[in-house]
Amino acid sequence: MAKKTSKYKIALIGNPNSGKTSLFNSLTGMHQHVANFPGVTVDKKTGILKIDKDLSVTLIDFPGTYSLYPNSDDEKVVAEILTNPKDKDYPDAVIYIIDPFDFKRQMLLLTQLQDLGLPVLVVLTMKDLAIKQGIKINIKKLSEQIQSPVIFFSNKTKENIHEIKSGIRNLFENKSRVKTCYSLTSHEKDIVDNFRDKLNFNTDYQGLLQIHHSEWLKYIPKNLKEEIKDYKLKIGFNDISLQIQETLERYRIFNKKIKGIINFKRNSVKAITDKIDDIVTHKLIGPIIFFVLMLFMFQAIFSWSELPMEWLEDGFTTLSNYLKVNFPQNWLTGLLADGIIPGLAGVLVFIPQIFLLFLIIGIMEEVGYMSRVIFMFDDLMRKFGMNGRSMISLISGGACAVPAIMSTRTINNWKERLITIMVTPLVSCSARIPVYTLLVVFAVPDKDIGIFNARGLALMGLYSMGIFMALISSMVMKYIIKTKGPSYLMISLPEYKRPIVKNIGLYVKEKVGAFVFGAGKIILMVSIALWFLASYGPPGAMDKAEKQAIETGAKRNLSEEQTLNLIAAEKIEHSYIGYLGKSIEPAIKPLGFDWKIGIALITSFAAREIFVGTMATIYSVGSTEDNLKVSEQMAKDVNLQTGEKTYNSAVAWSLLLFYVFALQCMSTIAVVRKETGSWKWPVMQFLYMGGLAYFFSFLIYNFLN
Amino acid sequence: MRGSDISKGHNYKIKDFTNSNIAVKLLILGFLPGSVISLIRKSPFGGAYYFDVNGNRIALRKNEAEAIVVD
Repeated sequence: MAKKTSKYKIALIGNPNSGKTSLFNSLTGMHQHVANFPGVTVDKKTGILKIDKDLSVTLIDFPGTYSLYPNSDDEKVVAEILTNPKDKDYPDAVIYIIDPFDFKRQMLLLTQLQDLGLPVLVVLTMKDLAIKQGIKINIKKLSEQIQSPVIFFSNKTKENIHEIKSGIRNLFENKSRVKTCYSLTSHEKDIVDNFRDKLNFNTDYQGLLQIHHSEWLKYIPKNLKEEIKDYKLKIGFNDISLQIQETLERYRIFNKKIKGIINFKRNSVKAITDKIDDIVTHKLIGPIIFFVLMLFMFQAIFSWSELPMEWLEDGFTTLSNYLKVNFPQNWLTGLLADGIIPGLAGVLVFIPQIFLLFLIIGIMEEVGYMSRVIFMFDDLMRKFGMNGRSMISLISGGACAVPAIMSTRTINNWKERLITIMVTPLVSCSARIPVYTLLVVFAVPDKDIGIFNARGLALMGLYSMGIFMALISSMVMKYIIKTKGPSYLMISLPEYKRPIVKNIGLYVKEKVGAFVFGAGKIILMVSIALWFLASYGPPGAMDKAEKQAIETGAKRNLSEEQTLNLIAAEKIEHSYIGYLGKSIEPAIKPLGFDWKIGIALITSFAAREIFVGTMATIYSVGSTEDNLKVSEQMAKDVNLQTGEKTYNSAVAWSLLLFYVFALQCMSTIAVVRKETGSWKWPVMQFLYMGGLAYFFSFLIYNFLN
Repeated sequence: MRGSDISKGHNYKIKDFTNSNIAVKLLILGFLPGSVISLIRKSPFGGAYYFDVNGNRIALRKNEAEAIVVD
């Protein structure tokens, strides 16, 4: 078995909050790879673990699940793969992670995994915390009773990580089969036998699960689904009552086995978690704490990121100018200095804000606070047609709608999930921050109202408007969308634990990385395309515009600088992009937008933050001066016909409201398409949000003008 | 008596369930006939219940708690 490649796949499986991801991080460190499970947008994290010099294994982190009878789409992925020996992710062995505080309940899934015929290594986590809280476990006896090796592990000290490694090695070396825990009843055996030749399974229990789930398992062909369904009807196979019977039987068997092995005498003093929850989930104080936390979060995002953002901005400006001064004036320098660098800068500048947002959300998840939020607000959210779990999606929506929409998979009711998906993009995401910060300068004067800064208040108002509209829309959709189905809360509230820095670090790295590389690629392409479209035009058009501008300049007796600005402006107006912007101008004129804004609206459909990059590109191409920031360049922009400033407060407010409501994001549309399985929902979402945007922009522009 | 009627700070024993669709999910979470259950608190808006079941903390909605028959 001496192999250097990692041909062995090991699945990490455990209940939600069992410490599974922590263990995965401890074992694989920075060598992780995130992809999707085929056909679904459930994150599939894989990593290589080197056992010793001639054995490495691939670890796959599966979504947390309570049993092989799934309740949500996330859990379905686990059942889909583990019931199908032909699946390319079907593991050779399983590491089953158990949270010792909640030991008994997790035995259920363990016995199910063993009955699939998979070799299992059990890892009990949170050793340090468990011992401190007075849990006593006879590991040796436990291991004998459950017929699987057991390791008690602490992610904090990691002192016995080598035991896990040798445990994995042993899984492959001694292949003794575990005695089946649950024996099928004659009824169940009959149906399994009947389909033995048509289905593909390793153990009878695996076959039974295939039959139980045949309706939604993707690998079972349609005609076979029908056949199984008919047979179930014929013999009176009742899924629910059989599942109850199986579950009770498993509990009965293992409760007998593990009796006396685990002793958990809660210290006579109240557990820390209960003390914290007395305050944090308190009827009155709980929601106040949550609200203050949210305020603190957004405050932190804005104030702490100010300085690093300035550094980044200055850095990019310096770089761009350096190129222009020190390199020959040719198209390549132009492309770099006026196209790529300003375009990229427009996005990269927001890394500090996104970093902070994911950092705070990551900590709230890691310590166990998020499930308390779900508990506190479930009933309130239900009034809006959503679910307590929607809270997490809406909060994450403050960072980015894409992961937020993916996180709705834990909502088991389709209607509630759909509504959450539909309204989440109305929560202002971090990509709107650049647009807001740029435009609010033109919308609101920089002065104080009481103890608050007027611009800060305006930003707060924009955020509130998004949230308010999300709630209104969900309320409306609650009455429009007509699908019924069971809806559950049933959430376990885990022991609070101190956050592990590494876990949060990896979480933030993953999310920020996805943002930078995901958006970065598109932005790079868009900025190159933009630069080209702005620098070139239909043959002769730009030359003609230049000649005319020089003549006009001479006629009006303009200074040299004024003439140069006029030439630059005329040239961009006659470039390809100028024509493109002009062609949509009639549609956006009622909102107070000119063709330059039109261009930015088109390009920022790729991602909202491109608005800033586009403005930077347009204005650096169109300006004779180099070292001004975008906002300063925009402030100088005047309408050449009327002589008025282009960006007055009416236009700025109109644009701001447009960005609050419009679904200006390709990635969101793509993910909604994927999550809902049809184009119907993303199209409806685009239309209703676009309608809101147009309506409110029109209203405010005409009100202020 | 039902799970939704129990008063704070007292221990009860789970006897049975009234709704098998809910029961099957509660079983998975460790709500078993014979388990000791107590109410820790209700949610701020009253629609959700924070229970302690055999030392595990679990939140249920009102209708889910109603499906539990306790003694």
